[in-house]
Amino acid sequence: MRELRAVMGAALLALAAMSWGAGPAVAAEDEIRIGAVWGLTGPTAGVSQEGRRGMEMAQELINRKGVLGKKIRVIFEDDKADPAVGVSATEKLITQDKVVAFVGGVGSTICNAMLGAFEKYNPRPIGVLTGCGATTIEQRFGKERGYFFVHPWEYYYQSTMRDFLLSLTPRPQTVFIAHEDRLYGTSHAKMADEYFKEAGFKVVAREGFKSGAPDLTPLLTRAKGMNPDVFYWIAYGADAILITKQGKELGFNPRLYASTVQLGTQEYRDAVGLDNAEAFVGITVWEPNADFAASREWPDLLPSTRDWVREYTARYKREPHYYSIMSYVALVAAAKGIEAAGSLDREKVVAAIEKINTMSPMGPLKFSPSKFAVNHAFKQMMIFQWQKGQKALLFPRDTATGAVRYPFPPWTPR
Amino acid sequence: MSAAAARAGWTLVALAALVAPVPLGNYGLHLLVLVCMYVALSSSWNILTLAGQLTLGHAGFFGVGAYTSALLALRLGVPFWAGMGAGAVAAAALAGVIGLVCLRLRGVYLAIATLSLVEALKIVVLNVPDVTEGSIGITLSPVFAGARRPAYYVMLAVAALPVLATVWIKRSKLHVILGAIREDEGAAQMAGINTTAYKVFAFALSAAFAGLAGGFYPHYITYIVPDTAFSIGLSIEAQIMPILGGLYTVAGPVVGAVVLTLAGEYLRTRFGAANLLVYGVVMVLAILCLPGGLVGLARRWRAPFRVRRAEQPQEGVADVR
Repeated sequence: MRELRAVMGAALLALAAMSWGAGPAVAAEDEIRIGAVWGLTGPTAGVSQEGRRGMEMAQELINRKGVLGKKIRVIFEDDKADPAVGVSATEKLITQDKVVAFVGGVGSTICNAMLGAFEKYNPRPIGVLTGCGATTIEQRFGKERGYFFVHPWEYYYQSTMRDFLLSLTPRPQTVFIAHEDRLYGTSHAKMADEYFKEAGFKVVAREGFKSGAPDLTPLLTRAKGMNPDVFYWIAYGADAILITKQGKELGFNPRLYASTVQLGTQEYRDAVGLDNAEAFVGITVWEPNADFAASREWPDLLPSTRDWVREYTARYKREPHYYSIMSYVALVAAAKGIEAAGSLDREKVVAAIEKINTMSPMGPLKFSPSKFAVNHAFKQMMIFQWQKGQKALLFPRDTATGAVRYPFPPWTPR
Repeated sequence: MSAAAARAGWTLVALAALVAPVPLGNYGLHLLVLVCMYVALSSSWNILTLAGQLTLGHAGFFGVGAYTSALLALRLGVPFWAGMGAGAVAAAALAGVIGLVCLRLRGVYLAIATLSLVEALKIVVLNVPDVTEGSIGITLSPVFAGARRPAYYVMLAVAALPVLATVWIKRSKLHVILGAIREDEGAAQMAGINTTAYKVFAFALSAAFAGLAGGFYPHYITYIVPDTAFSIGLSIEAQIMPILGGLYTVAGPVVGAVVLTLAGEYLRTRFGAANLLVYGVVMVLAILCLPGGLVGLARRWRAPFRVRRAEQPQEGVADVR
């Protein structure tokens, strides 16, 4: 019976807990609420905090004039990088906070669960989504007009890398692809394999490895034995550091070392040192030294890249991450869509966002169809190379800030 | 209290669980689904502790259930309820095989084996993408077209099973046998008990319920990848909940799951990024100050002072007698 009392106590706690969501102090009609589900704790916390900063900056700037005579309020929720918690956050934002739209987010697993939870609502919430890069999401949810995807799909990374490799002289012939063995690495590697082969490159191997492994010399030794022109790997920051250090130890010297966005962090450069980082090539969605002009329509919210980076750096005393600007632009797009619609009517807002066609500090902001999705923006990726401790943009040519250093220079002397 | 009063009380709890979703929206219903999932996991984990055995890889059986059910749905179009049953059977079979090897030995062998089991299963799933979809994961249509209320009742039934199984064990001679194995396995063997068989049975039963809960998960969340299905965090939560609620009891895992799931959500919504810190501090304090769990605390409040003192050293095993 005492156990029973404990169960009943827990049940009462459950009932009390259900009533905790008394809701925000300001009534829903006095403000425009936007939901933002980020992994503020857990493995994606670093990127999520970058995204959060971008959205907070956008919120403040948008609220200087307001939207439809009201303030925008972003309600941040932590998904802990757990899909079940992501669904909790989503349901809370829809049913209790009554958000008008969802903006931001990171991680395709969470995105999949979140959009899955949207499915039962009619109409479904509007989403200007930054965290959905997996093509499985594009195939599953891309047909929904109310979902605006602003993260490049996986294949844009690989098509950009393929085009860059094709632009090199002399043209490389063979590529060794290494990848971490989870969703991110495997999915990208599969895509790269396909694209490179189609372009006539010979993929000598496609090998998976465990991200965070303390030793990658077996992988690098095998790669060295195959003597590929390009060693291309898709993994995370710590793996990039290890590959650079162990590649040097083994004297592995392909004509080109290339990787994805994780190679571009200051932490990477500082960990391996300026000399060792020299001539490594990476793909990125955006770099702070990009040079996009201000929007003609909304220069106060979408200034030139240089002005935006200056403002961001002054506020947060740090260089912006691409998630910072991506989430910033996503929130501005949502706010401008609502403003142009003149109301919170879903169909009008969706139609208004679809009509946006302007320049932004991240590049041209315009939603158009991708392979499977109806509304996708920012299809163009950039290739950078570490040169004397700075990232020079190499590709596409119209955004280039430097010339490629190719082939890869000997490890010593440097 | 009489047995009749206890029965009336449990009936009241069951009725409350049945009517709880009526006033709730999708958010509250989703939380209740999670509560039931964790009740199933913590109660099933607790079953094995009745035999004095410790598994650190309960998520392995949850994941086996999840992948069995998801793959059957994906490849053969098997409905979710049949997939759940298959998930339970697969998890029980795996536990049986591992148990036959590890449970012949005493000590921490099972704990070590199950700890590595989770990682091993994850690696297997990742490395046979033609069968399991590997790291790309499996996407399924939402069960009941995403409606939360019927999903809650399914998960409530799943949660009730390990709780009822624990009640059954405690009322049968199995309770005495498992208690004897836990207290002194050598003595139990000397008394003619086939300790390995009973431990394997408890292990398989425990795994079956975890597999059953896992079997529903992919149909509910609609997407699984190895990292979420075989999550070490899930194993840890399955252990912490019964410890906080009260080990070896029927109510302890239920109380622990309800309190920790809802407290976790409350802290997440109230403390933002600091929620894990607050959660951790509360957990440490609770475990330090409540050696018999919340159920033990309830007992302490009820018991006369002198009886309480006499019971204190054996709090953890109080319910076995």
